[in-house]
Amino acid sequence: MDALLELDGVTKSFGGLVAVRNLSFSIGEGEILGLIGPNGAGKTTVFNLISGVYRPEAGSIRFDGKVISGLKPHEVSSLGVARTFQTVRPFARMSARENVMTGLLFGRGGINAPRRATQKALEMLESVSLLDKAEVRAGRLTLAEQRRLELARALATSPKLLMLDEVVAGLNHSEMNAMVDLLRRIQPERRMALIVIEHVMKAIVRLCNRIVVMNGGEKLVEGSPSEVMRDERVVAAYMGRRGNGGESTTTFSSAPQ
Amino acid sequence: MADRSRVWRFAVGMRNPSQITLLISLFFATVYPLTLSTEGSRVLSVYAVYFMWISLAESWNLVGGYAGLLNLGISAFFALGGVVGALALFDGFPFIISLLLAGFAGAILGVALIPTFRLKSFYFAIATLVVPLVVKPMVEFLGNRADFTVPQTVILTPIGLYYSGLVLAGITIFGAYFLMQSRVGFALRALGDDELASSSLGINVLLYKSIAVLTSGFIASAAGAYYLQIIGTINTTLFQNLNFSLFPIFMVIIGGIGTFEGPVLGAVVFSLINYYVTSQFPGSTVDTFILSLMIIGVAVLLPRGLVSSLHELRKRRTPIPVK
Repeated sequence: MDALLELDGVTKSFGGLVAVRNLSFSIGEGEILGLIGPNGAGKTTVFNLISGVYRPEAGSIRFDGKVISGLKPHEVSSLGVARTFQTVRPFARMSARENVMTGLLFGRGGINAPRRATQKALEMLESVSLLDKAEVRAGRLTLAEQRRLELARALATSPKLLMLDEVVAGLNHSEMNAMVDLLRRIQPERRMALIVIEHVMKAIVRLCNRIVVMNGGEKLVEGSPSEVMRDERVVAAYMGRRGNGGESTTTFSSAPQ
Repeated sequence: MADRSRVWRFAVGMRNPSQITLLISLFFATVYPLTLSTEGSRVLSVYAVYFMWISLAESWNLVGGYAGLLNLGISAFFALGGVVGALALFDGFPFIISLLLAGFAGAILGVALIPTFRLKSFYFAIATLVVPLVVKPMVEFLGNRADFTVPQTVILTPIGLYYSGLVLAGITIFGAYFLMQSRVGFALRALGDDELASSSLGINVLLYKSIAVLTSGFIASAAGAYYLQIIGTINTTLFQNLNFSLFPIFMVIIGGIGTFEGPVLGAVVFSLINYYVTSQFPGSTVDTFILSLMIIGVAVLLPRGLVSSLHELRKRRTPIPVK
């Protein structure tokens, strides 16, 4: 129908280990989808499959009406899919401004001359509160700053779909709240869809309309945040068989990574 | 029109002191021969090697400094350029054409490396180490000889040698500058830092690596054809001459890796030191020993080179305000 992104029966294995098995879900335009699950559930592999880093062995991925499984990462990106990384990957030798300019120059915004990207890059840095760090080499920024920089760089490509891989991991409480506020502000004004991988449930609940829970490479449950968190299978997946749920609605996994 | 305004802004709008120094040096390099008598102009050929090293170091920096691909065999590009240049001169082509033909040969040799781009950069380095070993016997077989000596009649005069070297180095320096200011430059620096992040932003990693290696190969081979003018002969042992593979790397490290002015400064400083050390210990290997120690010293003490260290001294870095 008019889903923006649609995964249909996607499977990917590494050696004998099936990382993602027969996974199907979809996301509509402007929707925010949470992707959660215990460590090793296959969440990041899903991002790598969508963004073209891996090619699915079975199943198909459609974006904006086109089959994108099999395309190269830069081709997927130019269709309007952007992402951040679980472990930050800034261009360490470039300044914060140049990091964002790179996103602008190769994104869908149609800016080809670096001269014309400068101003826009500074505006974007301002929107993630990094303007005073514009000329600092990205490798010298703090983790919280690098996460915001990576977000600004991904946004600079003008994506229709942005995939965030644990953007609040490693951040303290106020940094986390600032990041969630930032996302809630930016997402509607850009009318883009978000897929959010997150371990910190507070962040997930504040952001998402719908959550897909993965376990062992498969989809376990799908539903609204409150439905998902009451589901016994979800609690069991996180807590082990005898889990009795209830008390752990703030965070499922205390120490991700 | 757009191009002219860019050149103008480059000349006027520069805040970077090393760029200003560079422009002033180029100016003096241009007028210097005019101060010499006809007799005295023979000294000009001494400076030719500096222009050659600047071009070669700048060429290495495009791939090794910006794109982060370690080329350990640039001597192959250089020697191939010398051979092709010699063949072109044999066939009666003028010097400038021999330079261009050599450049195209170098770019084609760069194409041969494209399959290795899929591999990690370590394997690219290994591949570049093998290139001289593969190309040398091919050249010897096809050329049916190992020695390419051109007649004195096709060799440039000292003044011609000086100015063509200045133009070669100048084009290389400004070419590198404008390339790195462009979209291509952003792509090269980005993929040199992180390939996965680059591709996730829409950068075609394979395409931009190819652009870097082809451009670098073109310049290195053109520098080889220029070298032929300096010494009048190319022997195929040049393919495996470690000096020509390693010195450009040393120069870039000394000057500042991944900066456009670093290779220029590095080439001049290294050549001067090399000249001094070699003349102090003629006919021994002490010079190599001292040079090697010096490189290790620079790598440890100034890992980002002279240019970056000079910049740090100035400590400016005021952010550009948003309008």
